[in-house]
Amino acid sequence: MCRNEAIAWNVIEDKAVLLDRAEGRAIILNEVGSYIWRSLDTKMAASEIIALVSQHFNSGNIRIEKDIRFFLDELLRRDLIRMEEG
Amino acid sequence: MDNVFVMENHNEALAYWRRLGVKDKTLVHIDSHFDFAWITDSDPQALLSLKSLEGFKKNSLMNPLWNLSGRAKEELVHIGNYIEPAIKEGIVGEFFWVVPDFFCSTKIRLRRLKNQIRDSLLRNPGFNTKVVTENNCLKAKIGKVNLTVCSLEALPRIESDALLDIDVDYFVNNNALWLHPDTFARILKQKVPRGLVTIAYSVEGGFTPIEYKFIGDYLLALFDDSLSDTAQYRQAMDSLIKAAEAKKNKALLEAESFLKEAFVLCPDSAAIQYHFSMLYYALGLKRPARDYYWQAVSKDGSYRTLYNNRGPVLEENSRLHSARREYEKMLELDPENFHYYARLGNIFSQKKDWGRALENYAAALRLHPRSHEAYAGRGYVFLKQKRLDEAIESFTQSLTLNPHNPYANYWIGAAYMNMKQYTQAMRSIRCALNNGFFTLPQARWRLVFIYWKNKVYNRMCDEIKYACIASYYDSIKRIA
Repeated sequence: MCRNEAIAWNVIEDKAVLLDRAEGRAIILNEVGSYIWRSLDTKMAASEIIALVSQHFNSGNIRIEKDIRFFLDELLRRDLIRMEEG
Repeated sequence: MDNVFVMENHNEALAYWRRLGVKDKTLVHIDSHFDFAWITDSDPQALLSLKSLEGFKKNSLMNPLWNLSGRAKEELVHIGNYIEPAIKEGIVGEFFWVVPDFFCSTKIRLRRLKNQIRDSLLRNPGFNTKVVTENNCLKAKIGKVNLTVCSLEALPRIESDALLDIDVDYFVNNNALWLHPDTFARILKQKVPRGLVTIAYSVEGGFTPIEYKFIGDYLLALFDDSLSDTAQYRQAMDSLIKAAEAKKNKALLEAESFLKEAFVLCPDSAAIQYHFSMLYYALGLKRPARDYYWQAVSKDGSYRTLYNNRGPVLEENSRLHSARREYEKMLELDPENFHYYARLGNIFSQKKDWGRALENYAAALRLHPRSHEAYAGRGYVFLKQKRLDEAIESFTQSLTLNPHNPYANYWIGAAYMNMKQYTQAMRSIRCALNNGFFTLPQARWRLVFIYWKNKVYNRMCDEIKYACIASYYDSIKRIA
């Protein structure tokens, strides 16, 4: 997975703020979402992201994994991130 | 007047004003159109440089003035809005819009004009103004600039140097001149004795019928003091006006004798040759019609345009049969003009005659392989024939040539929807919205469907709201 390059973004007060020009709206991510977004500097698989977040926030349970997968699906559906083939 | 400039597109006036370093002048804009609209040029990127989330939340991206199209600022200035930057940049200190007399000849017309101005000004949500009626004139404020909308008769005398900004479409009503340029110039010179003059033909887009394009040159001869001995030219143009009137009244032989008079006085005028061409075509003399058409074009290439006939205006008024006749007539004179084939393609497409539509698009593309209009039209036909891959290929070719075309973006979105590729569909339809289809209800409802399919329910709910608003205004517009 990687960020959609068309999305302009910045970090304001530790939160990732995404500017979705196509949609004409801005999205402010929460702490975990902001961490994931910033981590997508390099391409990563969903499992890698889950591992990274679990390690960073020092918690690894099924609930967190479900939440992260839901969050990533949401980003995909909104075309904020893209699946990279190969 | 010392400085007189003639141009095709009215927004070129802004470039002249900038180049001459004009500041704080009274603009006398003589036109059938307001040419003022708020430009959606606010860069949303600026939001990202805000220091606090509080400030960020206060600025909603739903403000219609954010530039979401991705186009450069200068690209957003056009014939319908160039007065806005002129005001913002301090070029214009006071703004008079002189409308044709019949725009404010009755109370109903004046009220309609008032609503039009109020709607234009209030499109900026951060702007608040009142439009008031005073002695058959309308008055409002645009920031610190006073706006007065009035007829030529009601225009006050302006002592300072002014910007006289004239559009030829001001003179034409129902395809006839309602005011002779001589009368106009006499009145105007009394009211505005000094200034810089810009004159726009406005043929492209169908605002001024091409047969009256010469009025722009006539005005140049009337206003430009540096031109010597224009008496003969003005006499020729006067005969041309009489010829145009006679032709409109179907007195074709009378029109011919006026044209001959004009030709003797001014044999090099492309306008006269063009009028001969149209007259001889009406008389059934196709050979001389063709010869005169090409003589006109060789003298002035701008006569070879899509808008050198009434087809586009007829099409806009849904008079497809008459529009088709116009294009077919023009093809007899100019058989290699791809515009006419592309437009015939559109007409057959609207009549669902897919075969003939495709034939005409193919002819347009043979003559001009970079016609984005023909690619888009062909894509639409393929879409309707459920040839989805070909539709997408054709729309993609159109968008490669003109990425901001809202029509091609919208219909490629529809093709992706047919293929159940909802993310692609969403992107394309959003692009159509951001490039001019902002209030198209069909586009909004398509997005509602896409969000529902993609299970983005909060977006779907928001979009339903916009779709309902767009549908409401669309139905009001249809009723009006």
